[in-house]
Amino acid sequence: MTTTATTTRTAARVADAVKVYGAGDTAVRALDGVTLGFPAGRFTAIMGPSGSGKSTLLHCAAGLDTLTSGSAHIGDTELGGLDDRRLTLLRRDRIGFVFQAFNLVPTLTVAENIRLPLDLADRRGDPEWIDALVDVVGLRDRLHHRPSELSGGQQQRVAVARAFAGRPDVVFADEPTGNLDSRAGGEVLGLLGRAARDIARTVVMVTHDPVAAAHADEVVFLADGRLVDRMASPTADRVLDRMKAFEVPS
Amino acid sequence: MTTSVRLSLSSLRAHRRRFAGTFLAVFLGVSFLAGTLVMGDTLRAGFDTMFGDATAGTDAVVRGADTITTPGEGQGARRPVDTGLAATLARVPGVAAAVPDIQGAGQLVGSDGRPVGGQGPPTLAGNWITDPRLNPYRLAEGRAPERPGEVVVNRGAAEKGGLRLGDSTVLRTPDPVRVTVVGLATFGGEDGMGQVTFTGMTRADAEKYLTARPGEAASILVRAAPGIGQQELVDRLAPALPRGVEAITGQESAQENTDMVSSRFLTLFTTFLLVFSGVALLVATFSIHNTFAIVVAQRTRENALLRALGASRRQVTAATLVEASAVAVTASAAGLAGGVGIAAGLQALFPAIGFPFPGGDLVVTALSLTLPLAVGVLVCLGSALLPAVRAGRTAPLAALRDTAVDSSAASRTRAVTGLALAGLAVATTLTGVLVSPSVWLAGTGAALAWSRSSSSARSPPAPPSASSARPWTGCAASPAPSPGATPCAAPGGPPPPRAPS
Repeated sequence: MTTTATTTRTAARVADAVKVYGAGDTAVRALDGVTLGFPAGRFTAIMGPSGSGKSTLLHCAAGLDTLTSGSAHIGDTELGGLDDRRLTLLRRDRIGFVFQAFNLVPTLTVAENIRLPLDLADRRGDPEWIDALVDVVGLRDRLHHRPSELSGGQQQRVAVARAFAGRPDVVFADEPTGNLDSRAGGEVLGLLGRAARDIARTVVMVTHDPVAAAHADEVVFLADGRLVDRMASPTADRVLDRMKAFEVPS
Repeated sequence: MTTSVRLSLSSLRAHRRRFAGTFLAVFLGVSFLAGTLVMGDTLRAGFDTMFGDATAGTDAVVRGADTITTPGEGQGARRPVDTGLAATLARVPGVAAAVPDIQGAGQLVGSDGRPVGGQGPPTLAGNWITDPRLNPYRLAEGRAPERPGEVVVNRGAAEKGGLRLGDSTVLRTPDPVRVTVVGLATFGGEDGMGQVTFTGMTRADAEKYLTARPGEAASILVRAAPGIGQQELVDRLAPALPRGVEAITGQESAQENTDMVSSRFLTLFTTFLLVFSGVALLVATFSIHNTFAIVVAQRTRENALLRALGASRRQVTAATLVEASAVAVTASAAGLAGGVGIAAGLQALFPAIGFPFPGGDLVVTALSLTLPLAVGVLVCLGSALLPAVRAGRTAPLAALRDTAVDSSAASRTRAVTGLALAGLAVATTLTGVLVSPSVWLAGTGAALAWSRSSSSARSPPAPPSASSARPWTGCAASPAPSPGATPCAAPGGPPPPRAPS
């Protein structure tokens, strides 16, 4: 597997990643030998049909799940060698997360949710940075509201602000626009793209939506647990065409 | 850690109603415990004062040295002393006065023809000690008995029997003796020693009717000459005592009386309340465990999210435990206030049901505050520990899945069943307490006036205790309490939903 990003540092990568669920006859190979790097400062989208293993790849790369074999790195840290406690600290200090739903702690305010990873680490963080983030995501007047008082799009924007609050090495987003209408989704995707391009953050996003994937710098395609293609400077139409190819046997 | 605190406090605020049951259970348990302790201390202090006042003038008590303990009776009986010894002792240097204290059983018949005191409290009779400083009773009205058949009655007993100065009635010793009330007496500033009735006769009458043989006294009360201490008096008396007779100081004697009250009345009484406290705390244990198991299960996604975002297991466990401590501390603190309230309420209630509560303020010691508080907090944290640890073990991936959240509202059936069970529990408890007088008597001591309303016709008066010692001996006769069964209606709850794996 050749890579076009040899000149840039990789913020996260997996090598020969295999993930098997179950055992014996019912065993499912969700990942079947994936080697892939996510270049720093870039916005990468992972696409593939249902069951292609794209979510599993994200979970294993982000230290939420462990590989059956192969290795996963965040920067220079090999995740396989970390116990639960160190893996937890790594997620806390070096990774940001945006999930599809239930991103926020319902009993905390918007401001408290944004600061949550920093508070868990007992870190003060960079108040100016967080202040700027609040303006970027446009939630200045919602800081003291609870998540239940926000729209779905606003909630995802809070999650985006939280993901970047601690200046993590890499932000993993798992279907961040899956529950949003196209306008709210566009805002969230715009934020993720700006974070990568304007402030040189690394973003990895799993999506099944070609329009969402088109916001990324590069799209990688997974099928049956294997990396099958990559596309630089994607557009929605090209991504859609590529996805259609999965449906007809090639 | 501070985040844990903030997380749990904000969660508590959001789910206040869910903790109402837990709060109540801890509150009740701590209330009963604190109430019992405060009550016990207060009563003990009250009795201390009462006996201290009543026997302040007695510097030494001379009595049989050996107790003959019969099974089932904690306070052994003592061999009587010879009344003639009083005259001998009076001649010992340093003795101002020595008088025999003759005691026996004597039940007064009230103006309505019914015996005063029923089956409960001891009904005593004795010689009216003419030396006012040696007599624990004080003449409040009328005069001391002088002629045969004249008696002084403690004011409480007289009021209960509707007897007035100059009234004639019968004293059952148990042989009926015709007596005339010529005086009313108080004990330690109260209308009587608890519910005990006392009839004071002339010494001749007492020797004639109350003892098996004339010339027998329960003890001899000795007063020291000015300048002689109690211990010095006892030392001086010792050489003059025959074999098998001992002398103790008046203070020791008062202490023994107080201890006896403590070991009989107070122990039974406090055991009774402590059982309730224990039941409440047991219910609290189940309730807390249940509540937190549900809370943790319902919050699987939230805890998983926290774990995904970098909360350590310990932080998630701590957040749950902080929540438990917050409930524990507020409920226990409220329980302490409730406990003092219970004690104050009982203090007010006792006189209303005919038991003169020894005067004095509530005695609230540090122990009766810290112990219930510690028990409440420990019970709460202990019960929440397992669910809290389980919360910490939540897998971070659970946040990404659409976990089925238990949304079943409190079902009507469950509410009705719970109410029915609670009603049954209350009914059973009340029945247990009210129907069987033995429980009530045992629980509150014979000094309580239960017998007045429910008693005498049904069963013959309890035979007077053979013990010649002190009035409280009779209390021990009641069988051990079997507190009304209290079905422990642990609040039902939905089984914790499991996260799909």
